[in-house]
Amino acid sequence: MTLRAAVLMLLILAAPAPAQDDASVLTLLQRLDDDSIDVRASAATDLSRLGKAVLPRLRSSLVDAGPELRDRLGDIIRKIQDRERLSALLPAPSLITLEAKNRPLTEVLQAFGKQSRTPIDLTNVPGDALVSVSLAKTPYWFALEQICRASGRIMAAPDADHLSITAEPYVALPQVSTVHFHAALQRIDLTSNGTLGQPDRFDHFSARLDVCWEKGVHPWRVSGRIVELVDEMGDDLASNDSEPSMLPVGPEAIHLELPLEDNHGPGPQASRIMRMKIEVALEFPLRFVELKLPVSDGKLPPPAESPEFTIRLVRFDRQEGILGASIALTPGAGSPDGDLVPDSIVLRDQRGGDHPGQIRIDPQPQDNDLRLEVIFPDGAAGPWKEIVIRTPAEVHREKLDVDLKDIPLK
Amino acid sequence: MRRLGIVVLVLVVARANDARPQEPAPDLLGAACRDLEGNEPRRVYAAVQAIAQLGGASLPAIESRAKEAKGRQREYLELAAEEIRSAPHLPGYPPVKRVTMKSNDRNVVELLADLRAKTGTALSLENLMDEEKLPELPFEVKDATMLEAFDAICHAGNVTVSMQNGQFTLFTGAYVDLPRFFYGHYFLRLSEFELLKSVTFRKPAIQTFNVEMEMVWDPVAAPLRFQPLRISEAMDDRGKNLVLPPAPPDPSVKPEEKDADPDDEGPTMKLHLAAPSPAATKIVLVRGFVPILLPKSRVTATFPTPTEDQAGGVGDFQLKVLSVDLNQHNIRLSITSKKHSPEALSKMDFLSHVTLKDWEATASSVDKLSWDEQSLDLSVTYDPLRLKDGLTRPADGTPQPAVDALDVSIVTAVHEKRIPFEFRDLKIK
Repeated sequence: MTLRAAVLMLLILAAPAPAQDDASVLTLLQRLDDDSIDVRASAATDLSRLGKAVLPRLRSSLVDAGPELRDRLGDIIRKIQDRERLSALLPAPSLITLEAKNRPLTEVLQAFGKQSRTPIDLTNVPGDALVSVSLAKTPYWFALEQICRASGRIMAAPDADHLSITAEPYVALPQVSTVHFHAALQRIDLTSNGTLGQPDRFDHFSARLDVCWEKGVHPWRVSGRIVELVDEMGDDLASNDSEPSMLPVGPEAIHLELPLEDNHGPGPQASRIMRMKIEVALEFPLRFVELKLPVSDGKLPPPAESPEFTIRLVRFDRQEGILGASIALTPGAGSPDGDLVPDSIVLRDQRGGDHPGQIRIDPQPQDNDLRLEVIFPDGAAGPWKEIVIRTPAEVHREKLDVDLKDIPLK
Repeated sequence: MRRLGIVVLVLVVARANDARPQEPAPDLLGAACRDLEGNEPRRVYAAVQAIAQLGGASLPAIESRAKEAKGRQREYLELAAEEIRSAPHLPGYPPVKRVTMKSNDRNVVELLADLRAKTGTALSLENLMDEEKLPELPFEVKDATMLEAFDAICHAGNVTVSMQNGQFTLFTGAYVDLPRFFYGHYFLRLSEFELLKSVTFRKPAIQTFNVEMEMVWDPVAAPLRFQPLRISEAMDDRGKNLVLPPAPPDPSVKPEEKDADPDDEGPTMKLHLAAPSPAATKIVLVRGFVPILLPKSRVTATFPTPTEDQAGGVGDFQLKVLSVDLNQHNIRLSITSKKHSPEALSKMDFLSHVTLKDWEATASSVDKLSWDEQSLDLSVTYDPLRLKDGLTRPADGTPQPAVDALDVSIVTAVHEKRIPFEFRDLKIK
């Protein structure tokens, strides 16, 4: 074979097989319009897995699609686009490759730790534990779970900014993992309350879901809410009556423990929950708006403006020994997508050190202004350079569906 | 007993002979002991008090019977003996007054005013005075303690009573018919319960059952402090014993360093019980004791017409008035002692009595504010109440009454008294 012929052959082999792919996409598109919900759901999952390569074909299919099919196609297109955007936003997930047969557990976890950005504390790993495990490019959270399960003697849990291993019998927690995220149910509390002498009884449900990510994947805020809570009788108890509050995430944190509450519950006598579906939302800032108010000369600076809002310093002084500021915030035409969180306002000193402020928003807006009362608890020294307000102007909201089935309550 | 929203409550309380016999009275003791075997708490505890009233001469006979008795009856006899032995240690402890009231044409405020006149109990009725027309209530109690009559009036008039700073506070409406237990100057009522199952997946699920219990007392016999309550017996209708075994001591914590559980000690406490059986529908019995501390001895410093910087003393204790705020009904003092450090003083109990010019101080209490190397600061608050002009406090903006005298007592010794409680047939489903 000549060199030219060999190159041509390689090109042919490397090229996609459009006819075959087209056929499978066509099949999936046909199944997306099937009468069966399960068939449609399976086709939607398969299509969204094909990723951005299939986007042109999906968009062209929109033209002739009926209203229902158009909605389904729209959902798949949005999912693919969101995932693409997320993968551009986040660092690549760690993929773990490990081959160990009866190797010391510490050694295996060290090898695991070296393949990730996330620090891991191995202080409490039992020294005599051995493990056998075979992993090939396995996403981080799946790999960790496999090692713990194979060992049977440890549990892994995030602890602030690192992963901590504890020596305890392995238990499969109700959990869900994706390439980037891991969510594990840590606790469920079932209560029944009442007043003696009164007929009313109230069952309440609360749970704690630990949502984790690798170091470097830093959501800004996270929220979670129960969308389905099915008891042993098959009744859905979820009340869906409140908007979940977004909880801010610390700058170095690799997890957030989400409190989940529902005013209806199966009661303390329940022995299992048939299904619990939780909608977790993780917010990632795409763009920040940042405004600065210079305070170095001891005078009140002119207002600082952006399309999203204008800020004006009303007061910057020490009251009863505590350094604080009062800031008037006037919303602009394009209001920011994110809210103010504890580290949104910092006082920068002239050496470049940042001192985060504690914010209290005056509940009574004055005219169109929001009045922010800020104190800087560690702002003892100075001299000061500026007050900086930084908040996301645009955020990406990533949804993580945590669908847990047959949860034992024993 | 409720008819057309009007309650007529007749309390029939078994009552012992008022005269305290000097000699043992086996027939009275025998009769009261028979009552101890019953299942009706009111009758049982009236018998306990009747035995206690037999006095010191009957103590050997009571102790002898206690030794022969078992279980609940033995505990009741021991309680009665304890009451007799306590009496000399509580010289200022007032006897329980009993009242009989009957009326068809008085409203709740008038009934409470009548109760106040009969018993001298400090009752602030200002929260009830806004009601334009209060209904007349058919009402009757016979031979009831002040608290039994007080609760019955509140029930009939739909008035809620709570305790704030050791004094009664009354509110119109929302009287809840909670399980209640009366014992002399005290009554205990159960309110909310919570059955909790906690699942952590790592260990077997834990179930707990807590019931909130509140103590209400006649201010004349106010406890200084509360000790951890003890549950003697608790059972559900499936026969399950709900008394939790005592928690094993934590070797890492010294007994003197152990923090008091606020759930166990205080006017509002929690009964920690084992979870009832899944099929249980009620708690058939829960009984036990709340130990309280009462003043055994005290010394009192008196300030006639207290003014700022006025100094006074009693024994080793030196007191100085820091401020008198008539508008806020507050007097601040500092106290020092050569024998006791400010920290030691901060652990002592204080009592106060405020006399007002032309007014009657219905309530006063002492708070320990802070202490430094030199002294302990105290805050005395009082609540003026005029009897003649409609049983209400002076209105805002009117001149506040002047203080005629302030008594501050330092409690130098305390005595523990056990207050029993017993509740039956509590529905939980």
